[in-house]
This record gives sequence, structure tokens and C-alpha cells, in this order.
Amino acid sequence: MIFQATDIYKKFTRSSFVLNVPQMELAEGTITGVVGENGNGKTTLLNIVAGELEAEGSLSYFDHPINQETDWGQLKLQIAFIPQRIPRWYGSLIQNLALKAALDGIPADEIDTYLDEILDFLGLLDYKHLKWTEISTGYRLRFELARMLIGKPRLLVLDEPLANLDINTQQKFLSDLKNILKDKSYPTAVILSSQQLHEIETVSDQMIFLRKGQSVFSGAMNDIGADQDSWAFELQVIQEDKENLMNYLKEKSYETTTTGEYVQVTMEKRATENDFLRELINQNLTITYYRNITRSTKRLFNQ
Amino acid sequence: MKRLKEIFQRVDAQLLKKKPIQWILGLHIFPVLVAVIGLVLFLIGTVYSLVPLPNWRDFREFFETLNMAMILPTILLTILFIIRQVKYNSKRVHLKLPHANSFAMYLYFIGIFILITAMPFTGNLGAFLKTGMVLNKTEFLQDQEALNRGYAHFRMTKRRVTDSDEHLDEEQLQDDATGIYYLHDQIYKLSPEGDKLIFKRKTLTSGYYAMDQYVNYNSMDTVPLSQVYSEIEAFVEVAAKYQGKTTRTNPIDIVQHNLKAKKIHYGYGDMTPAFNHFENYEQLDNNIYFNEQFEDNDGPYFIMSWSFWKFYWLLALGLATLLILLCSVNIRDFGWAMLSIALHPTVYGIVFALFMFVGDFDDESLALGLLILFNLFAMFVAFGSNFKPTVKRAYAITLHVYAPILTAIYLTLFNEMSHGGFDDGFAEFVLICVVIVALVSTYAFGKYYKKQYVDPQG
Repeated sequence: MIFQATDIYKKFTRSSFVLNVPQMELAEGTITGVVGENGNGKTTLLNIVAGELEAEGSLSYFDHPINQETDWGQLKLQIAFIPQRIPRWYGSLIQNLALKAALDGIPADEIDTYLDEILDFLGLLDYKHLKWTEISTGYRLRFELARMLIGKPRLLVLDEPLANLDINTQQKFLSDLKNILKDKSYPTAVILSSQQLHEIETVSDQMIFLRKGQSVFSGAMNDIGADQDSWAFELQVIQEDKENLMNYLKEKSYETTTTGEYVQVTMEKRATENDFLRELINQNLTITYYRNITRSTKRLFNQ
Repeated sequence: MKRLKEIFQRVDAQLLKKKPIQWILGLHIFPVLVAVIGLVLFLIGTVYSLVPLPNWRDFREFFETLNMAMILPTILLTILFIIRQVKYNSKRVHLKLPHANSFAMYLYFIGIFILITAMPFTGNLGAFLKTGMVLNKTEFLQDQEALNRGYAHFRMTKRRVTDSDEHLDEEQLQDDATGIYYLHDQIYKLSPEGDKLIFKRKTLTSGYYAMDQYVNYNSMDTVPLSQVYSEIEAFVEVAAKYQGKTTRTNPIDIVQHNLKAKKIHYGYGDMTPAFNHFENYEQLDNNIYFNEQFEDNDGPYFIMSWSFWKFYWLLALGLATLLILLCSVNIRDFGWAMLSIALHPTVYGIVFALFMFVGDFDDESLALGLLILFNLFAMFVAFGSNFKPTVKRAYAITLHVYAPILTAIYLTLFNEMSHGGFDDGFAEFVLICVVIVALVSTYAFGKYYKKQYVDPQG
């Protein structure tokens, strides 16, 4: 196991906020998503996992429990932490990558090939001679990821990596992560926090949902909503149809919650998802967004 | 130029891959630049023609101008080095650095700062070595005695008397009993027996060391005539080595002339020397002064003076300490620490003033007591408290920066309290202690910063 923790507890002085995560495991080759509203402890949890923040509880990295004798300097060589705000790089991108490779002990005559392999893998080969200021936020993140991969870390901790990225770049980045884990030369576990629920759930193997510092859900993706006996859908219609939609849902006595332009509908599992969709189409409603959130952490946000 | 650039890029790329730490330290840039610029300056320093010896003032001003001209390049090179270290040799950029080799890097920083800041003086070194080939210190030390013994017989300036109430004349001047002390400079007369000469031993050089004794001849002397003559002969011989030509060489003739010369100038008009047997006094004076400065390591030759270097390298030590701090700590913590460093003396001053205002305290005891109190508080915050990491680190950095300065202050206070004098020996003792504390504290705080930034913090 890459990382294991029980009873993670963190309280800040002069703050009522308390982080409490009873159980957490990060296995090799898996991606763990940490979700929750702003200020609910995602960054705090990731800082603890990355070894930046001290916390109570029983923690172990690479099957070695943390104690007074732990050499964090050595341990952190195997942990790559990408914070929300990535510090800028100076000089050309390839120069920085070569420096990291040389510091990590890769033989001088192998560095070029080694870096080209990583950059090719991440689709960054054409940009290696540019400078930090010449690339977009998305590329900066991917180059930072490339740099982190040089040391072949066994634990990748990414705090809000998708923030400030456009949808295409988000998907490209997540696909990079998936590819890294598929590659056997990177025996890594990934933990990342994000507000992009759909994108995170698509790639994650397990999720941790935090609410006010408490772990409301922690487990495999398949376990989310497994015990639910009702459907939950999230949908949006054009403005003109919104009243008709609400009237219809009220008429059918479905439980509804509105968040902005989105309506969350909960109904018993007597009918199928297809039946529900057909009913909506029959009402001549123009649906602009629809998603089944029965087995998504999104459902947890409104509970 | 293009070819040079290509070569540099190749070396740069190779060093980056093979010796990344040396690349970060800019071993292929800064020492090389210093060496090239230093060599050019050294050559410039040797270009100045010293045969015959040039005008001392022109010579000195040439090197002063050279030193001044190099201030900007030196500052630029220092800043470039600091920027490179902040960019690459920083915890924020590479977690492996500088914690792994923090102290070794600190020593390198001291070395490179000495090299960079001393670079402008390589011109002076060139001048010193070249002068050493032209002038002979040992010979000059031997010649000094003959020059100083004989000089008084070759040149005397008149005394200007403008006060009409002082009806002095040459007769009175020859009489010791007048008691007009300021005329003693102009005394040059025979003893009543006529076999000795009484005169003021004015010297050509300002004094010198002979047999480990400081010799200064500026005093009244009574010398047998035979000795006077031999002194004059020796002077003529030695002065010639320093391009000093005399109009008269016969000792008897010279003494006779000097005895008759008018030594007082009445009124405000132009004044000629009482006697002057030099053909080219300015040239001799310049050459002797040149030798004297060379012998004393003065003027452009100050770089050979230990008294300059023993304090000079504190500059490199200070710069190196600040840079290793910049590389070892978070920039935000560094900012807070700078604020703390600036505020501590202010707060200390206010508290000290308040105590002095409300009570009759002994200055030194109060200063020492408050200093210890402030130190204990800072140590408590940095090492023993539950304050936020930023506060703890800011206090630790403050202690680190102040440690050498406080050493000097403590030693001075203890010295004053024990009524010890402040002489060169004490100053050197303080200097050694300051350097040791700076080195030891940087080593110890390096461990502290490593723990602070690598281990998880509360």
C-alpha cells in the first residue's frame, strides 16, 4: 500500500475547523478523488498526505508507519506534490527538466532520451524549448507533472489541478494521469482534489467526500449510491420550459432541489431511467443538460 | 563571438547534466568571469610605466579611478550571482537543495563573494607586483636612515613673521633663550665651542621602523661637525639613487651656506626656502614618498595590507549569510524576518529609553540585561513555542542574522563593564569570535531550516 491512514485529525489553533478522516488508503495504480465544497478541508487533507502539514492519527507511507525517526527528506523523494499555485520556472523548460533529471541521478548521456520519452508520452515534445512565460496554464501544469514524473514518485498529490483549465485541457490532463497509471514503469498512486465532479469521477477509482472537515463518504466509485433505492438525476431545460418542467415534476410528486439553473430530481426506483427520460421528452421539454447522479458524489452535495 | 557563445552553451549543457549542483552554483560562469576580468585588470595594473617613477598623485588617482570604474560591474556580478542562486538554488524550486549541502554552499558563497568583490583590486595587485620589480623595500629601509639624517642640511623653509610686535631678528633666532618655541624649527647654528652643530632634525620621510623601533628625527639635535659632514656625504650618495640631484656636494660648503642663510621671512610677500641645495626637490620628494607608500602598503598597494583584509571579508560573510538564508527559507518567511530584524532594535531602543526615563539604571548593566531578555524571548518563540511556523521561522532567521552582531555587542559590553580597553588586539579577538559565531550559527540554523521545511509542520 502506498499510503494508509486511520483517524486523521487536524485542528487549527484559533479556528473551529476540524478535519476528521477515519480511514484512508491509496493503493498503487489507483486515482483517488477528493471532493467537497470550498473550505471543507480538501487542501488540508492533501497537505497532510503530502507531508506538508502535521496531523494526529496513524499514517504510513509505503508500508512504513510514521514515527519520530522518520526521515522526511528521504520519504519526500518519493512523494510529488503539485500545489494549487505552481511556482514559476526560470530558464527554458527543457533546462529545468534536465536539471531535475541530473539531480535525481539519471546518467548525463541518458537524460535527453529519458526526457524526450516523458515529454512524448505527455505530448509536450514540441514545447520543450519554450519558457514558462510562453506557455498556457494547462501546459504549465503538464510540464510540472512531467517534472514530477522524472523522479518516478510513488505518490502523486495534486491540489485542484483542474482549476483554471479549459474543459479540453482538463480532459487531456486527466487522460495523461490515467495513462501514467497504466504504464507499469510508474508504480504510482494519485490523489487529487477538484471541483470538477464529473471529470474527477470519470477517472477516479475511489472518492473521498468531505463536508465541514468530516469524511462523509470514503470508498470505491462503485460503492457510491450502491445502497440507494432511488434514482437521482440532474437536468436543465431552456428558460421558457422551466415552469413547465417544475409543474410536471410537482404533478408527478418527484422530490426536487433547485441549484441555480439546475434541477435535481429524486424518484423511487420503480421506473427505469429510460422511462423518466421518455416522460420528459413527451412533455416537449427542450433539455439542455442531463445527468444521472444516482451513483455520483454530486448527490452528496445536496444532502 | 558566435563561436564563443556556442562553446559556452555546450559547456553549460554538459555541466547541467553532469554536475548539476556546480551548474547551479555557476562554477562555469562566475569564477571564470572574475578570472577574465581580473586578468584584464591585472594587466592594466602592470601597464603603468614605473621607470622613471611617475608622479605619485597621478599614479594613485589612476588606480582609484580604476577601482571606482569597477564598482558597477562588481555590483552587477554580485546581483547576477544572487539572482541565479535565488532562481535555482532555492528550496522553493528544488526540494533537494540547498538543505543537502547547505553549509558547503555557504562556504562557497563566502569564497565567491570575496572573489567578486575583490575583483577590482586585481589591478592594484598588478601594480604591486610590477613595483616590486622596480623598487626594493629592503634597500629603501636601509636608505631611509641616511636620507633622514642628512636631509636637514639640504632644505629648510623660512618662518614667516607677520606680527610687528615680535621684533625678531636673526640674532634672536640664534639664541635659545628667546623661548619662542615656534622658531625652533628654524634653528641651525654652531655650538658656542664651534665644534658642533645644533639644528632641528627635519626628516624626509614621516618616520619609520628600524630594528623594530619607531624612528622619528623631528627633534633638536647637537651633532659634532665631523659627523654632520659624513651625514651630508651619505645623503648625497643615497639621494642620487632616488633621482635626487643636489646643487652642492661639499659638506663644509653646505654647512657654511646654511649657517649664513636667512631663516625668517618678515611680512606677507613671497617666501623662498631658507636654503635649498636640491636641483629637483619635487622629484626626490615624490620618489621617496612613492617608496614610502610602497613600503607601508598604502595608496594603491593597500591590497597587501592585512589590516584591510581582516575586516574586508566581513562583507563577503554578511552577503553569504543573507544569500544562504534566501536559498534556505520561504520568501514569505524571509519577508517577515526582515521586518522582525528591522523592528527589534527599535523596540529595544524604546524599552531601554523607558527604563532610563523611569529609573536610575547603570547604562551597561541595563543594556546587557535587556539584551539577554530579548534574546531569551526570541529563542523561546523560535524553538520552544507553539506559535505559527511563520512566526517561529521569522524569529529563528532574526536570531541567525543577529548572532554574529550580538556576539560583538556582548563582547564589547563585557569589555566595557570590566573596564578593558578597546585596542587592536581586542578588535581582532571580536572579529575572530564574530566569524566563528557566523559559521557555527549558519551550520546550526541550516539544520533548523531543513527540519522546518522538510518535516510536516503544525
